[in-house]
Amino acid sequence: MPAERDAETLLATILEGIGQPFYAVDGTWRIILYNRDAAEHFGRTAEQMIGTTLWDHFPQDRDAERGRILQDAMARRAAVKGEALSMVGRYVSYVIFPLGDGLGVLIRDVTDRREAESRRQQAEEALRKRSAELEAVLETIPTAVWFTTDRDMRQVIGNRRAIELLRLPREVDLSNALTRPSGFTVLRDGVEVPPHERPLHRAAQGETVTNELFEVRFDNGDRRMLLLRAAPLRNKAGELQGAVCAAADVTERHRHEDHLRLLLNELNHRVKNTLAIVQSIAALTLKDTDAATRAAFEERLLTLSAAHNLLTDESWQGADIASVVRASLRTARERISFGGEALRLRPKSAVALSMALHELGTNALKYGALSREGGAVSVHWTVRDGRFRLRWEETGGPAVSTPGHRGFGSRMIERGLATELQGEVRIDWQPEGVVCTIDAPVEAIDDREATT
Amino acid sequence: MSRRRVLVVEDEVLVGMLLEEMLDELGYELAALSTHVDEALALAHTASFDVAVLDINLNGRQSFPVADVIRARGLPFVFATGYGSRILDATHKDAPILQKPFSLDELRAALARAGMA
Repeated sequence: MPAERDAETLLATILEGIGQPFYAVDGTWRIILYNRDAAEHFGRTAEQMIGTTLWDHFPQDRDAERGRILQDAMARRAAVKGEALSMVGRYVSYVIFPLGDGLGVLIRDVTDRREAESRRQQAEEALRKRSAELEAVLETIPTAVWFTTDRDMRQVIGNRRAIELLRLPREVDLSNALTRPSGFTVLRDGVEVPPHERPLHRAAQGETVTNELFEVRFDNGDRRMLLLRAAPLRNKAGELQGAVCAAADVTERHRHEDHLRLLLNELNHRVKNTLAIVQSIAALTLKDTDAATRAAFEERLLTLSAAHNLLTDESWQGADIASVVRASLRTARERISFGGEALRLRPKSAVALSMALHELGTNALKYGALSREGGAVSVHWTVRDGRFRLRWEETGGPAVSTPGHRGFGSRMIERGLATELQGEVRIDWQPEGVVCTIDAPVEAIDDREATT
Repeated sequence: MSRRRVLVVEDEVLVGMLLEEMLDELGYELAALSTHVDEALALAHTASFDVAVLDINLNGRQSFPVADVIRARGLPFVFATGYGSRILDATHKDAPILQKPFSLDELRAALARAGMA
């Protein structure tokens, strides 16, 4: 439409169309142009502004930095650009250019951008600080750490310890080193583990690996034992972003444990040899005496030895009560039923119970239920309310009467066992069969409670 | 029928003496008693016996080479030891083992097992 082509309409259209605050002043600072964005920026309408001077509205700004920029531009009649705090306290980017005898001023509010920038700088600074801290930690800890940032381990980084542990050169490509032959093999239980079955790779596929023991065997024959943990890394949406794996070198600890095991084996061997010598001395000394006495001694010695075997198998860490009962009752076992709740006996309790059950078994075989066809023994126990209760009950044997004097066997049961278990042990010579009851505090005999 | 002859290798003299008594009681005859690996090796090659009872640790040396000679002759043997069965190396891990100290019945059973092997 031709009417819109006239200069005034064009100017008005441009003025409003530029989308940024714009105003113009004449040579006496009187405002002659002032668009809607300017009105919004300065919080003053065009009606208030047109015809007045800038300094009518912002007198204090005349001598401030922004005032000087404007006055300088007016005097020099040159275009200037820059950023400054505007008269309404906002950061603006400005373009000032000569317009007629006055100035045109185009400004853009950059406060939000500057704030965002400052926030980003703060975030970057915080991240840099955290990265530096993490890096310092990673370089200091004695643990080897590997990271991968993708599922296929194309990119792997590790701390210095991780590189040293695998005896790799300082500037190695860890991805290559971990996925291709690099002077070492990784084994678990003596079987070689291929790269995709190792913890970092498995974690990169989403698996969490907790404390698995691996052996790294170098081509020159050296070995290190590593305890490995690995976990997947995920973003906020839960998508896999890679994995981290940490390794503690437990070689020395393993050597130490092996050494202890060896010592314990050696010690046990000597104990067993000594028992064999004691057995020989007794047998050869008592050769011409009563065969029953000799047998009783030998059986007690062998029971002690069997209890030692059980404990040695568990590195003297205690023994399962059912195994102790089974090992103590070696004869006529098919006529002895036994069972009860799980309990790990501390070594001394295991030996004492073993010796006592052996005496009961021997007595049952000689005079009690097991001395006669059809007789049977039941041994059952409970672990409840902090008490261990065991009941030995003979049935189907000959009529029982209380013996005139307590033999060594009964004394070993009633006194030896009671003392060891810190409880009560009673033998009832009931006519229908011997009943022996044990009642002891669990804390005195349970291996897990062991403090002594 | 003549008594079966047993080669005993045991470095603890008292244990060897008890073993001799026990073997006698079980109806065996002692072929020879040795306390040394070297002597035992020679005996394993040359002595006349039907079965052997071998202590494993002889003054710090192991008796496995003696077992190998006996096995090569096609004769049975039993290990007697205070170590658990874990002491046996790979080539001997199936051999019968008698835990020290042992009773007459346990010795009888072990010799029967060895004889059948």
